[in-house]
Amino acid sequence: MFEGGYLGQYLRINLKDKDIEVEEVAPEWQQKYLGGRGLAARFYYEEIESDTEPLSRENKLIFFTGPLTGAPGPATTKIGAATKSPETRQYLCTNSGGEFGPHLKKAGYDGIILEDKADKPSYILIKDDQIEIRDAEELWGKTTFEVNEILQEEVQQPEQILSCGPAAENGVVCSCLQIGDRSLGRGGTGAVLASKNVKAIAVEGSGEVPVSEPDKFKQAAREAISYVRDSKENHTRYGTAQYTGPMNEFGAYPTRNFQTGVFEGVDTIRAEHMKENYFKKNKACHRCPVACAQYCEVQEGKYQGAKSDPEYETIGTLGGMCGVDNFAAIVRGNELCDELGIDTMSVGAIIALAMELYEKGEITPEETGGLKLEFGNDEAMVKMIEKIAYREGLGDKLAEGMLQLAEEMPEHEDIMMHVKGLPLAAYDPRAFYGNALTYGTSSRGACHNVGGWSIRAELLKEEHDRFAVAGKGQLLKSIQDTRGYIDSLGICTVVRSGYGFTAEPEGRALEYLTGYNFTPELMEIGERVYTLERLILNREGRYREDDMLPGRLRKEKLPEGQAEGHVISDDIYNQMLDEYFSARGWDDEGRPTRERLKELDIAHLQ
Amino acid sequence: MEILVKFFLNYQEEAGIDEKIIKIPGDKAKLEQVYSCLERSTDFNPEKVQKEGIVLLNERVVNNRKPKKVEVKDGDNISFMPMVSGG
Ligand code: SF4
Repeated sequence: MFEGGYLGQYLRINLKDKDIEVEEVAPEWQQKYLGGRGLAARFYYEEIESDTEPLSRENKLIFFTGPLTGAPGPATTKIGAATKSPETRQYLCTNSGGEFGPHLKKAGYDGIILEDKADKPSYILIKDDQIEIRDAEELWGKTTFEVNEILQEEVQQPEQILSCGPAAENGVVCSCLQIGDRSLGRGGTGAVLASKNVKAIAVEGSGEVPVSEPDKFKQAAREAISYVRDSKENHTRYGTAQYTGPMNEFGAYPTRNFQTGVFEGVDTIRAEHMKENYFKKNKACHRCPVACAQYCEVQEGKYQGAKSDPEYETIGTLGGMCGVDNFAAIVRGNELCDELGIDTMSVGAIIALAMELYEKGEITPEETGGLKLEFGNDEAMVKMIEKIAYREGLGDKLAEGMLQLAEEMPEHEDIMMHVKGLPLAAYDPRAFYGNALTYGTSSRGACHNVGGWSIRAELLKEEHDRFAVAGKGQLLKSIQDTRGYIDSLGICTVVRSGYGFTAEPEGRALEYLTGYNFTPELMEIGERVYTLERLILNREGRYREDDMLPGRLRKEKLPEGQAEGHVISDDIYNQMLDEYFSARGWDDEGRPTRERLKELDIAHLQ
Repeated sequence: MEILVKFFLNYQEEAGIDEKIIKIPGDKAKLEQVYSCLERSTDFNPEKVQKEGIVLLNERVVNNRKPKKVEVKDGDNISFMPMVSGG
């Protein structure tokens, strides 16, 4: 059916039996779910039971690339994954850039499904059709940086190695998987891999991704490159860190665990300051002309020598959320997270929560081992990352994540800033009402990407004024559906506009790649992916009440800044949620209706 | 009249300052006059902001492509920032 883009096969690796099968991907699934997030969700629906324990041998780790992954165009870098999350105890989708996805395709596979558990620590080496499950005694306990160094002999570059760090081995629920400096960041995929006794997967492929019409695709790729070079200049210049100043200006910058939306220390953590004092060089994912990663180095002071490339969200959570205005500490905190394999966003959010509880006297100095866990204490922020990764002292408790804390301290639930167990990203929805639906309805918990990044539309379009209520449900559905197909294609969202993908300007890159004209179907595919994810959530017991926001956002008005006085009251939120459910064709409880499932051709999955 | 102007990111780099108070005669003016005043006194390039930036007038986004139609008055503040484009 397809003449390019797909290899049409994936690896199913049973770790216990050491059985490695090459299986076919049904073309019908590719047509309906594209790849990446969509295809991984389809396999999840089929293979992971609703009562599966995240860290049990029954859970699976499902990786899928998209048709564009590894293709000879810009930013064809992404690999998606789905698994049952230890952090949210439900369906999780996540993705990452780097060279792992492209090399997996070049080795001849669209994806990998890992099943069961190895008898002893192992790593997997994939070199075209040579696939080995090898002994990893030597790697166990090592940081991701050390793993990269040891395995580097096997592959050309560290970006082809996917690995977990000590945090994952210690079962930290927000431990991630690293691919070079990039991460499958959210939801605890690291702990799932480690629970299978697997430390790393290294891949090297010598083939090429097939292209249906190579010359035409090449031309479309050239046009995409020149478009993104012009339009994404600020991404190259400042990376995502560029949002720090503007978000603070909008009063939307979460500060001290969302107590306010304006951070008085923003001037020393904003992109302009980073650029002047810490920036060393740009770094790029696979074939990306934007190279948005801002690689920074600390030249002096107590964090001298620290090196990393902090993104906006990391600066937001380790910075503003923790009241930390020392950029060097953020570079170090980010470096530690990459090294130990832990999600910067969740860990920053949980440290911020602990800081508030400490200041309220609910966490004692005895529990912190004498550490003054106060807002603004950069050393305490950095130290806590280590303590969580190694489960030392209070770190052991925080390593269990927000859901567990909410169960243990229900009286403080209002200030636990998560939805469905996933901590919020670094935007305050009280300053952008659409962002409330983003967090509430995102299928993996409070995520600004999967949930649909509404801020641009809320700023630029009068009808979507950021404090308006009407129209937000429809808006979020449309942004989420777009994201649903982008995450399934295998490219980075920053670069997507270069390819078109819509009727205007006519985007034919996908057709030149696969030989199939996907363009008219993309929004429907995005909606199908989102609806399938909702079916999974329903099956796992998630309904309307699980889409609610933390109490602080519903009850406390923002005290200052441009959004002063704003709050997402239950009334406001329910109005937006009703409109959203209706736009999606879901009932009042957030269950897709039979009619909508039929329209999307997935009624058989109900 | 006095207007406080703030520059973010590339606009800050180009203008070479992060904020500036500008003075325009009278008690009302158009955004266009703010542009000309900035062009005279800094390296700020209004064409660029019209093409690809965001202009906030007293914290609300205004139509930066029609500077003749946007009215400003004494005590207002204006921010220039690039288009936000994806999280
Ligand atoms: S824009 Fe940034 S995140 Fe996206 S592919 Fe390029 S370097 Fe990677």
